[in-house]
Amino acid sequence: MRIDDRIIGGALALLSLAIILGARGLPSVPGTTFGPALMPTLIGIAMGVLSIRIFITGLLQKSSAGWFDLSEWKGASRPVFCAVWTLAGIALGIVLLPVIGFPLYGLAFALPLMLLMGARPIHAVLTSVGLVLVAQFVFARLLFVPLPAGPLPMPW
Amino acid sequence: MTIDAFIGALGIVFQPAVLIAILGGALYGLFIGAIPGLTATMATALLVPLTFYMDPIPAIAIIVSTTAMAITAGDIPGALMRIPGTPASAAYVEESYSMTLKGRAETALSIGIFFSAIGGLVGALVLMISGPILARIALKFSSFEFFWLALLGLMTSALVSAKDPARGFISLLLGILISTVGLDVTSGQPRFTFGSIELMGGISFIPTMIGMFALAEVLRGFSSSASFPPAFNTARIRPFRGMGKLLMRYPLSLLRGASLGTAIGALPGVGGDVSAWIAYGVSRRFSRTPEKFGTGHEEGLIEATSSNNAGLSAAWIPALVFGIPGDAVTAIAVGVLFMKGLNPGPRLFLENPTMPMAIIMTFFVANLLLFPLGWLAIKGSRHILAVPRNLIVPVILICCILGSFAINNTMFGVGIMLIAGIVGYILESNGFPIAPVILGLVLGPILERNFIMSMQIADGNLLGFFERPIAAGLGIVVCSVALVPLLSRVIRHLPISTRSEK
Amino acid sequence: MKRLTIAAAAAAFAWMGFAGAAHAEWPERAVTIIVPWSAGGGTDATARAVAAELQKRLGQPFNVVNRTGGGGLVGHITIANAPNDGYTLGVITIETTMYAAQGIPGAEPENFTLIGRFNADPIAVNVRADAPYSTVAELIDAVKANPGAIKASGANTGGLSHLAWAGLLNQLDVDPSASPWIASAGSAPAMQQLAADAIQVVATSPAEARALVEAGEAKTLALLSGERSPVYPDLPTTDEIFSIKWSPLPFRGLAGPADLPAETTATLAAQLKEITEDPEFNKFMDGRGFSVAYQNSADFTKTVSDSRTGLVESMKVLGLAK
Repeated sequence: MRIDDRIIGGALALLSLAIILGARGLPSVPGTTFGPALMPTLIGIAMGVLSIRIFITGLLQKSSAGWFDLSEWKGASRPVFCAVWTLAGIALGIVLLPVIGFPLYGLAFALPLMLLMGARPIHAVLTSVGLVLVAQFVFARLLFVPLPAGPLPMPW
Repeated sequence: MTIDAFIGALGIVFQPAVLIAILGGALYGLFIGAIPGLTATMATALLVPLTFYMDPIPAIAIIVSTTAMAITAGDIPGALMRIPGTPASAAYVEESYSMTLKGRAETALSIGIFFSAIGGLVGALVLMISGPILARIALKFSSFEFFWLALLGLMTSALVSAKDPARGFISLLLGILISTVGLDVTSGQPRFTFGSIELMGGISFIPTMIGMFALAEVLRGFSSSASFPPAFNTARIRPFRGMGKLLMRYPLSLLRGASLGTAIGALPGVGGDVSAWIAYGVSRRFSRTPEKFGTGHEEGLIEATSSNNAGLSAAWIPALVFGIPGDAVTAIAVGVLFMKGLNPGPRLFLENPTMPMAIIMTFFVANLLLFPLGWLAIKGSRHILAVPRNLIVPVILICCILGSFAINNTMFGVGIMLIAGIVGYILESNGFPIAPVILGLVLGPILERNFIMSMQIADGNLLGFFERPIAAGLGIVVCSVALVPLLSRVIRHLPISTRSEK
Repeated sequence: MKRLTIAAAAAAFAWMGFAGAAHAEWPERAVTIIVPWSAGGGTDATARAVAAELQKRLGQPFNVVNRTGGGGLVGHITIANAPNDGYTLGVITIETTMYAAQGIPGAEPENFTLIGRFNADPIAVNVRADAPYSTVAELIDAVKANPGAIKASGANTGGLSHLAWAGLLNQLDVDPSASPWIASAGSAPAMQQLAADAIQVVATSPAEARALVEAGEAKTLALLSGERSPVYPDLPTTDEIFSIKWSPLPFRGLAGPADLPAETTATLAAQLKEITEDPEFNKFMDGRGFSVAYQNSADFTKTVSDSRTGLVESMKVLGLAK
């Protein structure tokens, strides 16, 4: 996804302004001269200068591809579904994984994605089930990071 | 170091228990390092409970070989899938992945492992000969020198990783900006936390790195601008083929990389992450074919990867000689040494020289083990590329989710990974490099802390940054690195008569 | 072939899981111990030693996790906010009595279940080995003679090290700003600054200065304490030199989030007491120069509340409290 440099430059300029304003709101600590605001302010100034540079590049180029160039996502619809499934699946996982547990979530996320990407069903089922079992075991037993188990009882 | 100590150390190291510990650690490190999202630090931390039950030398040996192997093995997902194992290997992941895209995965992996091992051996040799002297020099480094060094590493990463330096610097600033989120290191005040307790703890580089490299790469893989590595075209892989020839062609790169790695790696706190970047930058600066860098060229890869492993050994210098750990791994190791009654410090070298000698010797053994184990890993990596994409991509994604979760055992890390992935994808599509973001995030707090400390010491006088001799030298290097590209651009636009004077 | 291996492995793992049947009592799984200070420092080292002993005695892993940042605040808040099921504990330090006065809530003594104290080591004044002063009195004279020239460090601004040093100057009627404080992430980077000759004084415990003292790079001048330390009997105290009373005593104690189950607290308290009497643990602590100073929950709570009263008063005097 290519975005016109004028938009990027403008967005970065706004970001640097927000940083500088945000830094001004930081409290200074009793007894110090160089407080928490110094570094963010410097970052904001430097980014502000560079964002103007990007904006000017955009002005000079006058790209013909439009403000947002989404051509790499046009064409087949299956890859778009895959990307959406990936992002939405991870986002939903943040809420769902602690509730339904890793084994169930892992299957619900990975298996459809494999099928969507065109894997043979038998391969997809075997790989995703194996993956979930091995990961759950490795994390719980070897890495001492107990993953949420959820309603599916794990033998360990 | 006396001959007696050397022979005594040989006797300690070449015992079944120690050798088994080294082999076990190496296999474990290979396993952890090769899985995207799991890091050497994590591997070491998980070893600590095990070391309680071990004798001191096997306990240290297992940590040494685990980290050496995990960091080297971290280059494997880097080369095959563009997922770097450490911030240091982010310096050359672009280079090695480009090689894989050209169908030269075998060479990329071979360089990663072969020159890592040689770099590690050189580092260990330097450690053995001049450990205490290097430690004395490292002790001369104050916040002024650390500030310049961190800045040098950061600027190099911005300059070498983008065609347009302005974009490189914006990536870098974004990374430093992310590092300021959380409680301020000097005053404890919350910054940009928006009232969130989880943001108060800061944004960890691991989920950010996983997201920006791995998730962004998966997203790009779905788009039509994707390019995939071809399968190995030879049925029989011959790991390390052609390495001897490369060694003959680029001996200077190897030596320069390893010595830079050792010198910078010995500086507590900054060394490990910076040295690979500076080595890569130096390599490009002095190369006869700088235009080939970033397209799958061997030279920079050799220099950076050998410096990476040399720095790994060197990080133990301040830890062993003064008990000042340079990174999380050596901090854990220092803790283990204390627990075993082997208090690191100059007294250890004076009273019991066999022990530090034996520890250094385990570095040799561990790095030598990299050859056979690395050979096996390269052999096995063919299977990774042979797995169809429609199976491996979901597996990578699950690894990403679990790796981000495991940082603090919260889904917060997964959220960071998701956002970093989307941001990373957009940044890269628009010519902003990812690696400086990661380095900025890692070195940002070090830069800031040392900057604030130095400002306080110098009472706000910027000239104070040039008053100490080493600081002045580093400061001049940093300023010239920043100014040379700018000046050369100005000179190019001047009339020809002035240019000829230069 | 590969599938077969995975299936076989899964079956083997499943069997292993059933073999290790569940326990009923705490701890039935791994316990996390949060250390709010960096790996390699004094709090980290002592916490790891205690965790190792707990693991030995209670049969479950006690994993030490360093959550650093903001002068210990991040880790302390993490402990206080952890679920109070006994599976997340932490080692807390004297800074918990000071955050509220700095205007940061959420990590006050009331937010924790105090299980017991295992260590308390006074702060010492450390200078470079080649410094022109050989006693703390000469150092104070040098501060008076050249206000602003002698820079001190040891921790974050407003941290205990800072308070200890500024409080000492204040007790001696020297303006604390005569020796500016340099904020550092802890004692290790401060000692590095001292060795590199960038600062002149480090206020930290003698144990944490020891490696560089033995390396001939630094020397310890005096303890900020009411009485001499049994570990360092030759070190004079500032109380005896200047006839003052100023002994901020940092502590390290085992704690959990507020309202831990009573049985868990009782088990831990009993184990901690045993650990501090264990000869091996004492040998380790002594070897690194840390004292073993056990206090049970009630005494520890009183120590904490006493230090809070004293410290907050000094912070107000020094302008470090809001």
